[in-house]
Amino acid sequence: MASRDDILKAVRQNKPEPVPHPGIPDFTHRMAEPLIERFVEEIEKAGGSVANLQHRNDLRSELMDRYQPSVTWSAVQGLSLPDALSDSALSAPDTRPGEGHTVKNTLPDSDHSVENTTPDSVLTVERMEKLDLVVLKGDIGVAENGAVWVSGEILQRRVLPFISLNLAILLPASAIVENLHIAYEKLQESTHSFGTFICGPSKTADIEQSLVMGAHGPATATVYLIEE
Amino acid sequence: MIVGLFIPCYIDQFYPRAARATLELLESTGVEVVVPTDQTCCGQPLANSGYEPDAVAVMEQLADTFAGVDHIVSPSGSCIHHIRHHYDILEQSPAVRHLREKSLELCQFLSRHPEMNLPPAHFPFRTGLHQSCHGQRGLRLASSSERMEPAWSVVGDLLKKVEGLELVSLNREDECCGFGGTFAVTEEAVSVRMGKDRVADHLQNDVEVITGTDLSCLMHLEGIIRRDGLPLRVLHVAEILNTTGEQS
Amino acid sequence: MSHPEQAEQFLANEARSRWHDETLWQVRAKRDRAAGRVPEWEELRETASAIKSHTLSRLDHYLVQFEKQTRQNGVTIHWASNAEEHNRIVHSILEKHAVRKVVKSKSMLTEECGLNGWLETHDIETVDTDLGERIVQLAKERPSHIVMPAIHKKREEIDELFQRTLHTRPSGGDAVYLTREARRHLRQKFLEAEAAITGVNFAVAETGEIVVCTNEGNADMGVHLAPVHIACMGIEKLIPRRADLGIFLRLLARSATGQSITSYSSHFRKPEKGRELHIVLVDNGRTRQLGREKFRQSLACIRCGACMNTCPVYRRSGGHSYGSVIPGPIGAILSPGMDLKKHASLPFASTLCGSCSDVCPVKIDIHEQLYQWRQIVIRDTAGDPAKSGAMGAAGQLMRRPRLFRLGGKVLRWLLRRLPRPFLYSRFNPWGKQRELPDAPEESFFEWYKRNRQ
Repeated sequence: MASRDDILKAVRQNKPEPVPHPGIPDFTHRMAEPLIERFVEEIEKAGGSVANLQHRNDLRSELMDRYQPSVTWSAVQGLSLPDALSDSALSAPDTRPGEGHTVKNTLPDSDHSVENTTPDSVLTVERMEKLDLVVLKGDIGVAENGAVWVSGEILQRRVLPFISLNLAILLPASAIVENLHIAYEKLQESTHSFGTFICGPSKTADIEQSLVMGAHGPATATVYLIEE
Repeated sequence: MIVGLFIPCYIDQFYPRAARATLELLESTGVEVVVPTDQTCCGQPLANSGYEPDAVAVMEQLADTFAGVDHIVSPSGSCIHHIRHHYDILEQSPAVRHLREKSLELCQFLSRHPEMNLPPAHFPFRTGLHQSCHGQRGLRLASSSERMEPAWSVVGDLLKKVEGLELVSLNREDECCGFGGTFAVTEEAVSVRMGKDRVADHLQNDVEVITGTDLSCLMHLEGIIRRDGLPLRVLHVAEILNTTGEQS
Repeated sequence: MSHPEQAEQFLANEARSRWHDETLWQVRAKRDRAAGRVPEWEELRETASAIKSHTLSRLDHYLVQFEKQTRQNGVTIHWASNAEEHNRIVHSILEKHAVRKVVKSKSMLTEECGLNGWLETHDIETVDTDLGERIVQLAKERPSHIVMPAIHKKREEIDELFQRTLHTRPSGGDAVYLTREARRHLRQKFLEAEAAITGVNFAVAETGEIVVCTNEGNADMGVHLAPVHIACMGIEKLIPRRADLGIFLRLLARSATGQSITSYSSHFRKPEKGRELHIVLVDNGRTRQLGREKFRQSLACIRCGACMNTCPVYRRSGGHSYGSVIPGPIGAILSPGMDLKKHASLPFASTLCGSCSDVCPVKIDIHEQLYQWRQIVIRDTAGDPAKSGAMGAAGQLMRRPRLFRLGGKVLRWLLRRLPRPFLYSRFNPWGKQRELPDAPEESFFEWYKRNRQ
């Protein structure tokens, strides 16, 4: 604690005269283009994609169409979609291809409606590490940069959005706001333990500035916008 | 209005033509121009090298020299920038304050006095404007590409009025040329590479003449142009604005 | 070695230095386009600068508030006065958990403290997980850029490096293949890690949360898999309120890479169930810098690297030429405050063009501080006595207009008469690759005297 006191003392001695906080100017309605249009542009620029859904019940068939051939293991977090998609978090069977029976598609078709019902014991690192797809609920979309706020409260394990090969986020179009200021206004009272803005897939350009998707986590990231 | 002409030391010695052009240009607008002969240097070469205390005397002397004029005008953005921004070390006497407040770079002065009609100039060449940094970002003689603001240029506006002159856009509109005072010798390798890149940008855009508000930058570029035998020449902006009748 | 010597070495490889310049210029151009899409860009810069000034003026208050909030959040706070204490704290946390394997995401602070070396000497494997940092670590080098650590390396070199260290096959520098191999290699490290160390982009006093931004997701991968998360931050990373994040996150990625936002901007408020979160608050010279009136604004830096990408000197001399943990313009004003003698050449590694100050998202007057550091270097270090003598003499000479002009006349006379080999000897750095200006017979004042007086 000696260092704590030393540091605080040194700060008090050396800090300048008080300067007021400027406040945050009102930056709303500065965007020229429609919010959704810009949101889509920004996500695509970031290497992600956006698909429009009429209704959240369409999500399951969309996911089937897009991922069925390749996905073996998937997890769903924070979604309650009785007509479309199971809410079981890790919807893959306990066995891997070759170990027991081959499972080509494990996107669930049961109609449970409880969120994140997978027992934590199933969410072992070994299983999560093999996830092909994670499907999540997004809370806020930010038009100016294409970011989607995902609250840690819906995640059974925080690593889920970062570890799978593909990421799908379901977001109501009405949740798109103009800029980060408005997003933070909405988050002002949030008591999340963890939360993250996600924009596009995991990427790197550290080799001669060549952009490569899937540096560590998702190589694809798709936002499913529901118009309802 | 009495204008005191400040001719920086190296312009006096190496570019008297540009100094004369400045004098003639100012006189052609009808203002009274005085040229105090006690002036030497603004002190920048010392101060930029970290030797501000050694420059105090000459800086104070400059202030005394120009105490009696309404404006101090100079064909150097860099020297004016130094006077306006780096004379804090001096005691802020009336003479020092006067000098700092009333000093203007030539084009800055001309643009602030649109009522002064410049004689029509004629200069039929593809011309590249090297926005010297101290003038551009220091005195804000032009917008800078880093700031999100509408583009504007005091010097560019004056050049656009010159008959026959074709103002050429560059690939890197406001990249530094690498002169930088003593930087040009202490960091010779970087300085020359920057200069070569700047010259190459002008050549790629078929520029025939590089102009600007600062002969220090132009001296550096000219040094490279002549060593490498390149088809370019440099002229101070005053020499272009003053091309009435005679062909420069 | 001083900056000019190292810069000359970097420039000697013309193809590489041209590539370096052009590549970073393209990043700068991307930044321009991204900033140009934000109509209120300049207002954002102004606000960010003012928030930082405010925070620095009440830093003690915000540190105490942050500490209180983090405690309530179940986070453990540590205070370190200097680099060694920081390293000891991190080591003691790792010892307590018997950690032998650590994954790290980017943190300039831990670079500054030399943490990796410290942990290695204590037999703790420390793996940098940002691809660029991993490349540099495998090559046993240091980052040459704070956002693009391996920007000095060509793809062929990385190919060769990976063959040697990760046993990849020759790929001719295929970035996709090399990134995939790095992913596989690092995935294993993530799974094995017993602790994750990250830096901090912003720490919010009001909520006690820290924000970490990455494109790769490597910070999150590390943190969420390992049982222990240690976040290391300089005390200047604080901002007052969550709402202030809106300002800084809008500026950070646009300034850094021209992206509108990084792929992940993660907000850590409480540790995940069954896990630990430690935050180490580090001074290491920051309170001293706070007391330097002309230089305290440098503490507003958000480490975006835009001043490097825009700096015409940095682009051509490469990051290693600065010989400091943080290179480029911002490094050249931070480093002299840490070790003036060692970094004495850095304030002079600039033309004072001011591009850095205009690009800076928090409006640090970098080039002005470079000018001010020059004064201090000359005042406080034993420089070149010959140069000091010459400068003093020049100052004296300039006070005597007649003598000064006579000197000029003699100089011009010599320039016209002296044989070329004498003028262009090795003692004339100007003339190495440049011609001297013509020396006219008559100076302006000589002409003026003859014609006008």
